[in-house]
Amino acid sequence: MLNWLQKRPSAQSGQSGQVATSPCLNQAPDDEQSYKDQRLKHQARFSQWMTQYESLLRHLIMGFEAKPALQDELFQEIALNIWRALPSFRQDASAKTYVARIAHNVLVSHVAKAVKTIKMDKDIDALAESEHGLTPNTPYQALDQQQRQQRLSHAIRQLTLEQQQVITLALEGMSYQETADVLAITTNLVGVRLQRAKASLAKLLELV
Amino acid sequence: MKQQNPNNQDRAGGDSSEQSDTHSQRTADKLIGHLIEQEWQNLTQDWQSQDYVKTDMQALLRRTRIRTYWAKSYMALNILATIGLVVAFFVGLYQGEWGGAINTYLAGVSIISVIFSYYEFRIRVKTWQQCCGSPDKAIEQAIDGCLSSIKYIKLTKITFLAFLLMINWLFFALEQQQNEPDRLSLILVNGTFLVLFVITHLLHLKRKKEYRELVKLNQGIDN
Repeated sequence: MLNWLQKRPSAQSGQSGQVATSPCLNQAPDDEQSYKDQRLKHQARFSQWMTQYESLLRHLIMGFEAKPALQDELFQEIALNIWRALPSFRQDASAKTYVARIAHNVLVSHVAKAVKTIKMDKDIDALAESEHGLTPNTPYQALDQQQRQQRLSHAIRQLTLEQQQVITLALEGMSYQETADVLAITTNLVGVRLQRAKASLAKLLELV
Repeated sequence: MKQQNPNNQDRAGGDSSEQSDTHSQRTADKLIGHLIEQEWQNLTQDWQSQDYVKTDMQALLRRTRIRTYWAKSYMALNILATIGLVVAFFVGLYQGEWGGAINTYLAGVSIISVIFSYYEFRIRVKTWQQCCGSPDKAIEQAIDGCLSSIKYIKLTKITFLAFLLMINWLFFALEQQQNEPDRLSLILVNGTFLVLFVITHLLHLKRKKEYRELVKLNQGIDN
């Protein structure tokens, strides 16, 4: 019963060609041994992905959530979703895009569900800034790296949800095509959203 | 000599001033864009060099496996309990030793349990399938998830009431057969059901509030 549930394909098809639902790991095992092999492969791939993309995931989370405790919770939630989605991963697809898409799904849902938390986060950010002796008027360039990172994360969390999505992926060095694949939108739309997001971010950081 | 209409002159003057404004705006935008691009490398570097506490991957793997295991075990237990009830009903019917009241009770709760398990299975599988959709649709998915949760809670409440009716009927029927009223058990069972129902109802109110907030947020984005 449980084995059968684990083998069910769990993904919906996205608009992009990169993330597809064709199963590769979810063929029915011939015997107990092949099922064990499959399970070990599943675990190995999960550990590999989580190690490889830990920094990407942690940074994405920081762009959406300020509280460290909630950041950890979100990381575990993303890990659980990756675990569930692994059987639907197609071998020729980009793992980075796949992982980022799952992370964005969880993060957007989190933002959607936690309107109250966001308000609290703003207070926490303000508190953190005052602890580090920052005033909102300090020019970005004049701050040390830790202060700049803090200011940057704070500014990103003040952007609209759409802008948060494109800017976090762009800051991670993703191309327009990769961002389009993650968010299942066109590259043109990525360009438009990114330009607006950069302009808003520049204003928030007082770069211009 | 052709006389120029002063209004036209004003308009021409206005146009040239607007053109000049637009030109200045474009130049300013270009300058801003250039400055942002210059600063972008520094922002990227700052962003990518953010510190974080390294995760213990073995512990994460263990936790993830346990969470998946429990979610599936809970559903499997419900299905097993339903099978158990159906088997018990047929055993009771075949042996004919438990009496009409218990057999009727088992038949009723078996039917309720089968319906509950069927809907629970559908709702849970749908929830598990939502992790890889488009993030652009994530709010709609969150709304769907919230609605599924509300449906599940409603189903649980209806099932509670049906079970409560069945169990009270069983007590009543047994009392008539044995002529020994067991008031304490009746109060305990009804009390437990009441507490569980109140908890479920509070959860129902919480989910409904979440749903309203999500719909409001989604409308805000659409606008």
